[in-house]
Amino acid sequence: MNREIDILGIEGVGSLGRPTSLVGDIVVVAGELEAIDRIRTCRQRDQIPHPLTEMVTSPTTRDVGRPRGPRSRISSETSPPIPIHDSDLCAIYTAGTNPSTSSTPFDRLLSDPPPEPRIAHESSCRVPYEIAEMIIAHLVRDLGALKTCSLTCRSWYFTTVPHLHHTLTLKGGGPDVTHGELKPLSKLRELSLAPFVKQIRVQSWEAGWFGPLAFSCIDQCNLSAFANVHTLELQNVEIYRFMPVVECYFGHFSQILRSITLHNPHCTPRQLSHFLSLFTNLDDIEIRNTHTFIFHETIPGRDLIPFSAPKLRGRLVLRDFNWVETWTHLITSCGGLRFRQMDLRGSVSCIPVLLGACAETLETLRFSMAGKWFSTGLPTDSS
Amino acid sequence: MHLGSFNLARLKVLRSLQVGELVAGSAVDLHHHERFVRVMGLTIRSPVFSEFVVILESAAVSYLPQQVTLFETLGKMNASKPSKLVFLLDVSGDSKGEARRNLTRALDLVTAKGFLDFLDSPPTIR
Repeated sequence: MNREIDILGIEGVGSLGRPTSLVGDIVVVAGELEAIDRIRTCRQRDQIPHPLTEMVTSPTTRDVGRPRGPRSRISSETSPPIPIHDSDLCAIYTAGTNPSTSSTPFDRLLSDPPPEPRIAHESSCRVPYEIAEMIIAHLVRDLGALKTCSLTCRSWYFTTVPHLHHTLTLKGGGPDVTHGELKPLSKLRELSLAPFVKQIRVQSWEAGWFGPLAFSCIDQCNLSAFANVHTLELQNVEIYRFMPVVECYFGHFSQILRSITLHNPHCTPRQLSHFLSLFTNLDDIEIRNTHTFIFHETIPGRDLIPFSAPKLRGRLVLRDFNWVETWTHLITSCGGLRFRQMDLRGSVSCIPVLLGACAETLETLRFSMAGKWFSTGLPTDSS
Repeated sequence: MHLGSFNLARLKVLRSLQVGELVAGSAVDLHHHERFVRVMGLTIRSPVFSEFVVILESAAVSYLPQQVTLFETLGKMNASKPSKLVFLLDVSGDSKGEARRNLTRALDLVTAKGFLDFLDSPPTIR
């Protein structure tokens, strides 16, 4: 019943212990969004919140009778109180002092000057931007590490944030559809993070939740803020429900989309080609598993006029996809296909028409010998 | 599907042909696969064709040293259309290292038997 909308790269920031909240019937990790809000607010004030700084200087947790610098005042204004334990203080102060000059950690706590938390900041900021980028590039698949790096310092935040928000994942679990449930779109737009999103992934274990009713007018406007999305991945999406006005929902991507992946699309072959023709600059297509044949003809297939002639000059991956009509319709409307790489494992029926259409451009062909599809019609040895 | 529909002669710039599940355990499958590869090799007309890739799953690696006829067919195909022979492991996760070692051992055995004598250079593993 619950649909979780997960904004990649945000949930880890909330490891400070913020509770999640229920908005409608979508579980939005609200603490994380608040944390991002805080980062943004501090960024505007030319400050980046740092967990170490907050722990040491939060005045409401434990007053140790020391003057606080300007950084601590800013931090205490912008962050809620965070409990601090003796063990934390001991660890922090031990790290910042010479053990030979103090007797116990608690004595050092009372007598020594406070450590300078900016040391960690400064040392990481001394790393040249190019080097920091190379370091971060090794962590693009490790979201936890990316989130940690984003809290290190200002320069590392700006280096990691494009990776953190590279993919926006919208998850849905139930078949019930309600409207206006795509709030993360508006939140990302509000936080000016939408331009960082390069890929949108819609996950649904059962078809249903991602349909026209899920879009409010505001959501459709919010989609236009995602101006750099080049990859769309739709899982179990009922494309037929967007017909015949599919451009109202996906039209924002018509010029910018380069790659599309469809897992088990629910539509007719003709509706699928109509949908694909919406994206003018589309190069790569991947379609997997179209075992579910649901024919919902909202309008007759012959009346579906293609929007454009997509470029289709990249990579085609088909898995267990044997809708020949999709390609014949697309070839007719595009005047041919120009794929350079094809992976057609489990898609035997489509091979002849695709080979004929891409005869001038195909460089790499991959297929599988699984099954007995080639066992009939083989010429004799003499031939 | 008729083989005539699978005509590679139309492909003008084909560089790489990659075939999965070519190495089979049963004799019936082997027979069909070998005939298919032979006919397919004869239809390649692309002047830039350079590599024939055999995609292997980890289970198929153990069958490799027994595929005498398949290697003979690959030899005939190589004679008509010289190309590089590549073995591509379709394995993911932690078992990739072990599968790669198994494949190396299997290819050493195949080479020792002389099945790959038709190649100018040793086969590539990816």
